[in-house]
Amino acid sequence: MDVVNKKWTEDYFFAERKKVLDMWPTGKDVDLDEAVEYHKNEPHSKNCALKSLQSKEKEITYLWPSLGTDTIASHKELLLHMQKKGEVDFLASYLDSLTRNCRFKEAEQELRKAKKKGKAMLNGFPIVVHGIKGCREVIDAVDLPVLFLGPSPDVRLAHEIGIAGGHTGYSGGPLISFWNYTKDIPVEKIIHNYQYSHRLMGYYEERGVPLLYCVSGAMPSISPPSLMIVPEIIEVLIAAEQGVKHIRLNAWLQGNIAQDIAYILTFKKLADEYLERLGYQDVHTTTYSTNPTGRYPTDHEQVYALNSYFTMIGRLAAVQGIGSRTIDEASHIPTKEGSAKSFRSIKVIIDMVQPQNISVRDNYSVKAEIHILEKEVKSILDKVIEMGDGDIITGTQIAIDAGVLDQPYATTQHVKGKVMGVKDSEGAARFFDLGNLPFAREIFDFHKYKIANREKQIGKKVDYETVIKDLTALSHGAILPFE
Amino acid sequence: MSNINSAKATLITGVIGEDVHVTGIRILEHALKNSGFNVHSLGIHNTQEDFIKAAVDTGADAILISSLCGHARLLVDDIRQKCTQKGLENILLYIGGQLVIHAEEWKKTERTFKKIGFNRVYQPFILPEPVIADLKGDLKIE
Repeated sequence: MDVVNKKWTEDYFFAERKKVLDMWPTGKDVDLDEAVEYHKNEPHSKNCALKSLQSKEKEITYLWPSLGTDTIASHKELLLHMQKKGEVDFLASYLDSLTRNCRFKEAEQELRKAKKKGKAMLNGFPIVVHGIKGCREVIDAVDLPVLFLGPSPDVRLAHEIGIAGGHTGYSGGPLISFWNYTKDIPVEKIIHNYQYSHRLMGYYEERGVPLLYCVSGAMPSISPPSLMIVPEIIEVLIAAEQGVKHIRLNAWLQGNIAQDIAYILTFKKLADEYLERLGYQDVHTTTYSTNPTGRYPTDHEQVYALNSYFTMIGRLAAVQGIGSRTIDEASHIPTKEGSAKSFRSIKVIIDMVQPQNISVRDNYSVKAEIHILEKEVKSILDKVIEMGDGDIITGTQIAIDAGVLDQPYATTQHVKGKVMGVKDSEGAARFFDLGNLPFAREIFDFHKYKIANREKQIGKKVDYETVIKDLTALSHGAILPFE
Repeated sequence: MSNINSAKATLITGVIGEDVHVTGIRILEHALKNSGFNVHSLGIHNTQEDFIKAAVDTGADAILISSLCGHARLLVDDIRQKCTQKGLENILLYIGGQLVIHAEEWKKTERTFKKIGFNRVYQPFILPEPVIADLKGDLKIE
């Protein structure tokens, strides 16, 4: 499969589109002209892209929950509950995992059971099975903008129906789907599927409907932030080529304040820099931060504290959006009450910190992190571009084979998996193994020095035991494991 | 990290069953490679047949199975007989992870899996080092 970073022609897009709409009967109801009209008649306050821009102008931080349950009635109830009791600014339809794997028939069967039994059978909202009418029934009932989300190797039909159904944004991406959600699908196939989704968003943009795309890059597992920023910027560049104009930059925080703030600031700076360098002049980027993935405490009081902590870090870096985990998700699919309580509590942090114009950019620790992080990101990204002879998608394929793009703990079999992280004495993520990353001596030495400090702290060499303990530290409510 | 020099024994590694828990096996694979083993990883979502086929194809010395879904016993039920049928009479079989759903005495779990034909059975959160030491002993390396 020959996939390059080049805007699809209208002919190619519409030829692909025929196949996509045929994947499930609800596909035939999508009428792009009608959908563009629908969006144009919606108020600006219900558009994810426009509301994000507004947060940037006003220098405020909005709250974005992740929400999703299966039937129209229960999803509507969940969203209305969050709108009323959760003090959030956006709403979401999280896709169930069957829809994310294009298993629409099974999703339909489970949905039927859910309606019959009156209890949830799916772990999200099956956009494709519900079709445009079902989506709009939910969206017309709420006053806030709604995005849909969920990494998936093929989210094309969900894009057609989700957007025509009234959603104005999507969060997910080809690379996070590749490393963290698939085993055997070649990266170029997943990128090709996303080019379709991006071209569709571009089509709406060209007709005056702004839509928001949120890149996700890679899930963190004690990962130095360059391991997330590089794939995220690659996702940005792939989307921009297909005509996406509004992009949210998702930062996955991990708990070390200086490193997390440096992540947010460096990501924004370099995303804009690479967009400009590669000729995309009119793409609007906004920032967003959220808690790390991985094991979390089951104790609600500890989760409240962690959520508040991560919200504080995001707000210190003046992000435009914040997401959060919920108090009950470590035990089960979050309830509407659990979600509302979680967001109401972090709203307090936003309201406390937001009016304070505290500068973190000049903090010595933050500056030191930015210095090294910028070098790491540029070293990898420039190498990827060079390997692809200027084409970011060709470069991505070659770089993955070479281990220049790599991830720890990937579900896919198609990466080297040589890189691995460990925490330093202050809980920041450092490279335990740098694998084949194309770094200069200075970066090697920096990580070595930081790890040496941890070794002094624990009185032994860091080893696999340290790595395993670090991976679960947060679930005990601490940045470093208790000895 | 130092690369310990060990003979090029070939190992098949992977997770059996439908669960996507990948962290444990990735750490083990990382450590095994660094110890000089030739690691043929199957990743997540495998059946016992996948493990056996890979072992036949690569002439492997050992199969290391990780399982976290709690249904391991059903999934590996007759793996030893199947190995023998495919001509892998002498292959080492190791298993580790969350092997049963309900809490039971470890000795009992270990006995169950040894009876199935596993040479080594490991408790959850085992570190790589003892596994590597066992492999070297069982394969008579160094």
